[in-house]
Amino acid sequence: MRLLWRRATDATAQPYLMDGMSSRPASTENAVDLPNDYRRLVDEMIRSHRSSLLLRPRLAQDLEPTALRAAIDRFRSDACLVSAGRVRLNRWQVRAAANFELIDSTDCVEVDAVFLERLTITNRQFQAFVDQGGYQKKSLWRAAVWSSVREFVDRTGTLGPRFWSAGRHDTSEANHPVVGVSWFEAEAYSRWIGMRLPTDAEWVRTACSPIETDNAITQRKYTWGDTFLSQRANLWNSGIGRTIPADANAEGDSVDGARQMIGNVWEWTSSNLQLWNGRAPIELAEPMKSLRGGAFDSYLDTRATCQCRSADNPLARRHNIGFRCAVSACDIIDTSDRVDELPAMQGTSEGTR
Amino acid sequence: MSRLVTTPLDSYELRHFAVEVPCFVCAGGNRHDAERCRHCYAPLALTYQTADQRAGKPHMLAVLGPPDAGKTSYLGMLCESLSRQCESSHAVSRGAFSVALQQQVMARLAGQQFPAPTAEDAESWHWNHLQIADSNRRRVRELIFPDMSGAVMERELDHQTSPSTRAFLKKCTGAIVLLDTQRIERGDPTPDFFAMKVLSYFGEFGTKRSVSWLRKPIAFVFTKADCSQACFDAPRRYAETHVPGVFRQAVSSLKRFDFFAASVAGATINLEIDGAPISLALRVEPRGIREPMVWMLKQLG
Repeated sequence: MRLLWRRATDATAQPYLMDGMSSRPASTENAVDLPNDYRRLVDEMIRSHRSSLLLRPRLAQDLEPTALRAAIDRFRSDACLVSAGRVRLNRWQVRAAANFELIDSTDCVEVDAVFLERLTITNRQFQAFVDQGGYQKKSLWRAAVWSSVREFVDRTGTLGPRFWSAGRHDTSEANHPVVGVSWFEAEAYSRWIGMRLPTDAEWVRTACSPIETDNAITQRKYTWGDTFLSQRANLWNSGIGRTIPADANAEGDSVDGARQMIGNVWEWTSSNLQLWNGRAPIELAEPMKSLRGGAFDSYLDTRATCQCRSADNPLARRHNIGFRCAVSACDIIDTSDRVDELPAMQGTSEGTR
Repeated sequence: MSRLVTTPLDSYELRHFAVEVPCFVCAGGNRHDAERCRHCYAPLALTYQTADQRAGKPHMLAVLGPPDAGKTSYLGMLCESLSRQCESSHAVSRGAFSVALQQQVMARLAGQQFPAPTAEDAESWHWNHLQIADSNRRRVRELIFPDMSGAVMERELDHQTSPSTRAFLKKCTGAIVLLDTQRIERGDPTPDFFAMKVLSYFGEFGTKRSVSWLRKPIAFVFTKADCSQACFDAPRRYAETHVPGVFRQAVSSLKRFDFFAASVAGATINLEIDGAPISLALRVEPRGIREPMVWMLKQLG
């Protein structure tokens, strides 16, 4: 156990761990050495949706078997594994004669195996990040944006998502996707839980589950097939007109088990928007980050397919943009076979989902 | 050998040419077989439709804004919104010409493009004649509004050279004045000045009840408001701080007015490709489109 916290001072792990232990600083001098504290801390990290962090190889090797089992159990219920393979991505081609069109590119992108969260991050999950001082933790933020973090405030001027009040979410929407967060806030949260934002290619591969036959790739238009069904995704045509809980619409799950890839909220990805004029990339006046999936107020269901994308300024804090996190399979321990050999942890919370 | 044949002269068929058809919009006389008024270029179908309708006299509405304020996108999406949804009210287009604008705008948006600027030639303007019923269909109202060219309106405000435009505006029972939020955010005062000119122009119509704009409802709509959440949060407060000229003029001279925020696209990107400016709709997320019209219908009674 002492070893765990000694390693926590390691440069790579420190940014993540310090927040989880805000009440007890992580240092070898103040090492947590009581079994109860240890269990409480691991339990707290799992409840705070940070099990991915515990499964980093350097931390997982020092976890007690029961704690490791709990972390793996939780992680496997939270994230789905998307195997390595190829995916076809469209590119935006702008022609000089003021004629804009989306061209189906035949370029294929190789994607490594990745774990993608089954659900988008909810208000309740993001609340833990706010409560544990995520906005004050410099190591979670990009240096370039750190000075602007104080501007990421809610309706009352308190640090937090734009549509919250006094640093708290609306309790009636605890299970709804968190919205009103900029790309930088999404990135900081992802880092806090030991994950990252998915790339465009990872997101599309998860959503459309490509099938490769005879060197050709067949991709679904929507996660469930090629025809839009309003009861499977919360878009404008569904007539709901607002966000719904992140775990609703199970019928619309992707093949790998990711929910609401289509509809409810747009999702930030880590990729930049790139437009092309012929073969030449167009330089944008301001950088834009790619968005995927469509939202509850997306009017055209043909523009909210697995392949379609939008984009926005990374500082934008919109009412319909949320995110889900990802982690490369190679960045965490192999969770596939080990769990059955491990003993269960007593009293582990069900988490904050 | 010739044979004498009596051929009846169907003179009654010529009476159509003798009687002029007055345009519903400008009241100018036209031949019975004309498709558009030769004075104001409004479709004469409006005259025939209003002659045999039961829903009462239609209200004419002016939708005004400088060039590139988003009039066509707003109106097209408004027609789409009113015709596709059945919440508080539902609209039916009267005449195929009323569907053309909606069709054109939605086709462009589906390709992530905005509609091309409206031509200055009044003959190619789209006119809309909508029959709007409230949710329980007890009350049916009719609205007529054209998608006017911003450049033409700008010229009319500056030089007052178009009698037919003036006649149309005099007959209108309400107006929607569009203010481009993107330009306002860039610090461009054009939207403020344009709206001030409109109010001054209306003020010149006099105080006679039928033409005076003192009591006619005017909705000021901030278009492209997706670029400013503050505008959506409190349009009136936004107007007070960002378009103070028109705000003060409205407060001092109008009885019935309000400010609204609307956007058709959720986000837009402006590019310059080989010297040509291109605006792309990154996503279509209509917000605040119906509210000005709902308010207007309430004001019109």
